[in-house]
Amino acid sequence: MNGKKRLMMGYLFLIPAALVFVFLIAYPVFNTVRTSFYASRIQTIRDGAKFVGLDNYVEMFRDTDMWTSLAFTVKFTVISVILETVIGMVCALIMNRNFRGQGLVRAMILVPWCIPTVVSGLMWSYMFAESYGIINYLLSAAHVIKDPVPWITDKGWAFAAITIADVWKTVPYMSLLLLSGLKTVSSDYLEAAAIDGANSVQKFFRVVLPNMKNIVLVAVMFRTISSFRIYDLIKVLTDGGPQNSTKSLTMYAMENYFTYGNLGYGAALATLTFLVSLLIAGLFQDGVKSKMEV
Amino acid sequence: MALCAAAAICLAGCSGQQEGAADTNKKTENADENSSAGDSQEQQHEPVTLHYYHNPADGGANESMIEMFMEEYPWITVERVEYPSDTTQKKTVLSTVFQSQDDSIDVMQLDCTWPAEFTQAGWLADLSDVYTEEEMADFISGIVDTGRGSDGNLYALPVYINTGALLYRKDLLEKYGFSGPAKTYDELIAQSKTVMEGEAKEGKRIAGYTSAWKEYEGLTCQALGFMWSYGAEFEKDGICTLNSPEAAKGLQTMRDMVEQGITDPGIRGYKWTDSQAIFNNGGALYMVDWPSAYNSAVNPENSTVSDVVGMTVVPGGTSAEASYSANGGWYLGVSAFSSHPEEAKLLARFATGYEANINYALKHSNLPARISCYDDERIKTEQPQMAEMKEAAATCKSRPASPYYSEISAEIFGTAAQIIDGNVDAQTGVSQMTERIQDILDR
Repeated sequence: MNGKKRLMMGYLFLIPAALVFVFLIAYPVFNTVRTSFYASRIQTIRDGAKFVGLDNYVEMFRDTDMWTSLAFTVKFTVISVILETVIGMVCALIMNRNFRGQGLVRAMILVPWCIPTVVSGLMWSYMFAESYGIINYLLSAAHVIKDPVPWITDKGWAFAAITIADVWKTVPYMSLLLLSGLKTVSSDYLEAAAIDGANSVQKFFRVVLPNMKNIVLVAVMFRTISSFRIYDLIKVLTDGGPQNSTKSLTMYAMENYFTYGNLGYGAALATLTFLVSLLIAGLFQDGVKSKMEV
Repeated sequence: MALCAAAAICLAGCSGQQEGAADTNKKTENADENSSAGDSQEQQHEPVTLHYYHNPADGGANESMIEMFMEEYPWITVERVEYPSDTTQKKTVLSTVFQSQDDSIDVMQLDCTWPAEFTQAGWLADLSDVYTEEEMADFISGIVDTGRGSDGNLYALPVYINTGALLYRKDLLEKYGFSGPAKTYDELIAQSKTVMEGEAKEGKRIAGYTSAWKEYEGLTCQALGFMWSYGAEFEKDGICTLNSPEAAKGLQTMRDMVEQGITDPGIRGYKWTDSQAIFNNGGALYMVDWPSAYNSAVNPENSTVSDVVGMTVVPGGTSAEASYSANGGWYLGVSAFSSHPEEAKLLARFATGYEANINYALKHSNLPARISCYDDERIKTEQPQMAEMKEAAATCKSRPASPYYSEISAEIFGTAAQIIDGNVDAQTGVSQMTERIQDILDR
C-alpha cells in the first residue's frame, strides 16, 4: 500500500467520529450560539424569534442572579479542584506502593466513581438530612454537636455539603489519572536522587512532580471544566438553595431555557458557560504544550 | 375529513357495547345521529399506534387504564412512556419534543401549571369537541378553566385533582386529650406545643409539623395556601393583589411556625418524599402533603405509624372555614403535532372518563375530577377517607394561570423562603414580590 492510499484510508476511518462530532457537538453548539442572538420564548414561539443582536448578553451582564451563580460556580470549581488534586495525589501515592492487599485498596478507591452521580447525590442527601440523616446522628452520638448541623438549609453548610459530596465522588478519577502519571516517572531518577541523599519529600517535589507535570495539568484541566459545568449533583442535593446560593451557571441556564421557556436568554447563558470552558481548556493547552517542549 | 368520519364511526360503534357504562359515552348519542350511514363499516379501522406520556410511580393506574382502553378500541395500540419523576424534567421532555414539532407524542398528562404556557406556544390541540357542555358539568367547576387557552377553548381536560391534605397522628392527639385534628393554624400551633413538650418529657423528640418547604414548586403551593387562608387574593383584573396585610400575615405564620420550633428543623430542605420520611417514621404530629401521601402513610411496609394516621382538610387561617390549598391536579392534553388527532381524542376522552377516574382513585388514591365519582360504592368502601376530601376538593384553588407561571412561582417561593428564614420582614417581602410579579404579568 502506498503512502497516499494509507492517508486516504486514515481519513476514511475518521469519518464516523467526524460525523458524530458534526451532528452531536458542532451543530448543537452552533444552534445554541445562534439562538442566543434572538429574543425567543416558548410563550411566543408562534410569532417567531426576533433577532436582537447582543441584547441577551447585555441583559446577562446586568443580571445579579447571573453574577451570583457565576461567583458560586467559580468558587466551587477552585475549591473542589484543589481538594480533589491534593487528596487524589495522596490516594495515587498510596496505590503506587507495593503492599499486601494493593488490588483491594485500588478497587475500593474506585467505587465512588462507579456510582452514577444522581444516585450518589441522593445517597448524600439522605445522609445530610438534618433531622434523620446519619451524619448528624453520628456527630451528635459522638457529642461533637448539640444541635443538628443545617447541611442543606444554611448557605455555608450547603456549600460544604456539595463540596464534600463532589470531592468524594471525583477523587477516584483524579487519583487514577495521577497514578498513571506516577507510573511514567522512571525509577532511575528516584534512585539517583536517593544516592544524592534526597529525602522522600524532596524526591516528591523535585523529581516526581516535575516529571509528571503534563499529566497533572491534563487531569486538573478535565476536572476544572467538568466542575465548572456541575449540574446533577447540586440538582439532587440542594436544588440550588438556600436562596439560590448554590445555583450553578448550568442550572441557571437550564432554568431559564426549560423552566421559564426563555430560549434566547437561556442560550446566551449556555454560550457563556461554553466560552468559559473553552477558555479554561485554552489556558491549560498552552501550559501542557510549553511543558512538553521543555 | 376522512379522520373525522372514522372518529364518528368509532364513537357510534362503541355505543352498542357500552350500555352498562353510559357515563363515559353519553356523547355517542349525538354521534349516532351524525353518522348513521357509517354504521355498516364499523369494523373497518386502520390500525393506529398512539404514544402516551404519563407519570411514573402511579400504582399501575395508567397501565390498567390503557388496558381497558385497548380492549374497547382494539384497533388502537397505545405505547406508554413514563416521564422522569422530577416535574422540571417532565417539562423538559415535552418542551424538547414540541420545539422540534415532532409527532412522537400523541397524548400526555400535563401538570396544572403547564397548559397556559403550552397553549400560548401552540403545542396543544383544541379539545373543545371531546365533551358536550352537559358532560363537562360533571367535572368540579373550579378546575376546568385551568385547561382553557386565552381564546376560551379547552386544550386540557382534568384527569384528577390534587389538593392539600392534613395528615395527623390520631394516637398522639388522643393521648394529650384533643378531640380532633386542628381546624386552624393557631390551633395547630397550640396542639403541637403541648404534644412536643409532653413527648420531650418522655425523652422523645417529635416535630409538630412537616411539609415540603424547600425552595421549589412545593413551597409555592404551601405559601399560596397560607396567603389564601388569611384572606389574600393573587390578582384582580390583571393586577397582582398580593401586597396586602393578609398575604403578609399568611407568610408570617409560616415564619412563626419555624421560629417557635413547631416545624421539623430540616423543613426548609425537604421535598415531599423527605417530609414523608419524617412523618412515616413517627417524627411529626402533622404533615401537609397531597392525598396520595395517605396511601404510603397507612402502608405498614413503609410506615411505622400505619394504624394511627388520619387525614383531613388543611387548617384554616382566619377561621376554620378559610381553608384553602393549591390545586396540584393533572390534566390530559393532545399534541398539536400528533399524526392521529382523532384517535388521540378518543384516548383523551377515555382517560378522563368516569371509569378512569375511579381507577386512578382506587390504584393511587388520586381525587377524582368528577363529582359523581365520590358517591361511587367502590370509592366508599375502598377509599373511605375520600369522602372527607370531597369538601377539600371544593375549596382548592388553582394556582395563577399565566404563560409565565414558572417565573411567578419562582418569585413566590423565593420570597416565602426569605421571609421564613427571617432575612426580610413579611410586609416588605410581599410588597417587593408583588412588584416583580406585576412586571411579569405586564409582559
